[in-house]
Amino acid sequence: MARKKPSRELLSDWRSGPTIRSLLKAISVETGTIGRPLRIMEVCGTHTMTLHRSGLKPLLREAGVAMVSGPGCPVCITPDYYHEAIIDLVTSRKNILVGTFGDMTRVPTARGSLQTTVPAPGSEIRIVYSPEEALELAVKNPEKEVIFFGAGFETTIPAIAFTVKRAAAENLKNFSLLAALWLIPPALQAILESGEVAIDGFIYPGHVSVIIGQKAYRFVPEKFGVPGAIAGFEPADVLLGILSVARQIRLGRPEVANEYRRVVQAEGNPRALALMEEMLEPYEADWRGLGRIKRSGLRLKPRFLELDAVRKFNLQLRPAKPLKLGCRCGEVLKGLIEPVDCPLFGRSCDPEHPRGPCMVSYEGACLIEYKYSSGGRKQ
Amino acid sequence: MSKRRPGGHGQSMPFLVSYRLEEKMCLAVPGKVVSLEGNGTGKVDYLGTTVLANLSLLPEVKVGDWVIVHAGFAISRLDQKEARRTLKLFKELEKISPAD
Repeated sequence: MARKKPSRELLSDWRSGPTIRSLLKAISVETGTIGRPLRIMEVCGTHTMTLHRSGLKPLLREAGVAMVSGPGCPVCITPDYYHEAIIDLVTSRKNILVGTFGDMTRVPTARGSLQTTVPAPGSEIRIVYSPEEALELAVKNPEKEVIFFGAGFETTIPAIAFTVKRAAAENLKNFSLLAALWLIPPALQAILESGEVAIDGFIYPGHVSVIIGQKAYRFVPEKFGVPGAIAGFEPADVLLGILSVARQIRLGRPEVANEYRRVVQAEGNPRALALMEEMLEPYEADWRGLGRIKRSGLRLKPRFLELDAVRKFNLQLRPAKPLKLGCRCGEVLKGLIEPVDCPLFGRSCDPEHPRGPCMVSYEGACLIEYKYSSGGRKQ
Repeated sequence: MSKRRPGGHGQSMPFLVSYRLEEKMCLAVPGKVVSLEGNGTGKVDYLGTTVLANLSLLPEVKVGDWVIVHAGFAISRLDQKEARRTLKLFKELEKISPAD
């Protein structure tokens, strides 16, 4: 079969001006019929970035839609004590090699950050781009204990599970995982149950949905009557998701729509899901801002405990006293406040001197707001 | 592995440079599989930059497929038929709901 060459339009037409304008128009027609403004939560930090960078937020407001950022930033929701435990280890023990994603190294805690801390002799912190890269470090440095400090949602978890499985299969004794692995659906349930934020609908994260598919969100319309749509990351993708949510509200028919069908399958990625099931088990995890949520985190199954850094190094993952006075990242993550409502925002907290993780991560609502809104000044 | 890697949460470089690397992953500019390299890996071309990716999570992937890569792993195929269908829908919407 002759394969048709994908033309550039497949990559670029998602930003076309006429498309964006007609989508905005269609959304405003929907909200006009509904007769009130809508509050829609974009769960994923990358959607937050799309909305800001393309200047869609004010246009959406004119069309009757207020967008609220959600908890979709793994670096942001990982509590400080994960960082503190790994900082304690790397500063007190020789020959520890910590591999982690770049923005994880910049999160400020009471013990400093992984970037500023001074490791013990022979120990070091390395930025890696993939969990497999950390595993390769373990192969190349047999004299060191390599720990992959991995934070991620369902998008990243299969890659980490695959890597740990490989380490087990290769019987690699000097590799372990500090897992900060979080699940989106239980967090959404917690937000809906708390009732703190009135939300008319969700834009579900596109690449989390690649893994978990559509049915993982079914409880949202069924139990809470709240509409939602899975959306991609181009401007037209996000608007299409919002239009779908508005339509569901007008029709009174909440569902889980898939508006990212070119990438997301209804059943998710079965291979990835099977791998997660094989390697990991859910537990009651502690989210920054959201607190403890049942079955909202994943950890290694008991038979892989040798590869669990918490067990191997007796890491103390315990909540410390809240020391970041004034940082309101937790409330930002729940959609309770906007970044500009925090008294630190743009004053003592900016991307060069972040006071909390929401200003560190590329998916953090504060960093995104700062970058795309005139240096953080309230408009 | 390869000289350059797609995205990751990389931040060893100055702010803006790494930010652009980051964008690649988060916006998931799709890459095209240009070769299979054994051990479940393959080379993926992102509009000119070729990187090695782990294809194990997409067992059916073939050379010529467009894929979304995250943290070194291809996690989904880009279905061109669906992409064209959505773009067609946009064109129809522009007719039904013209922005004046």
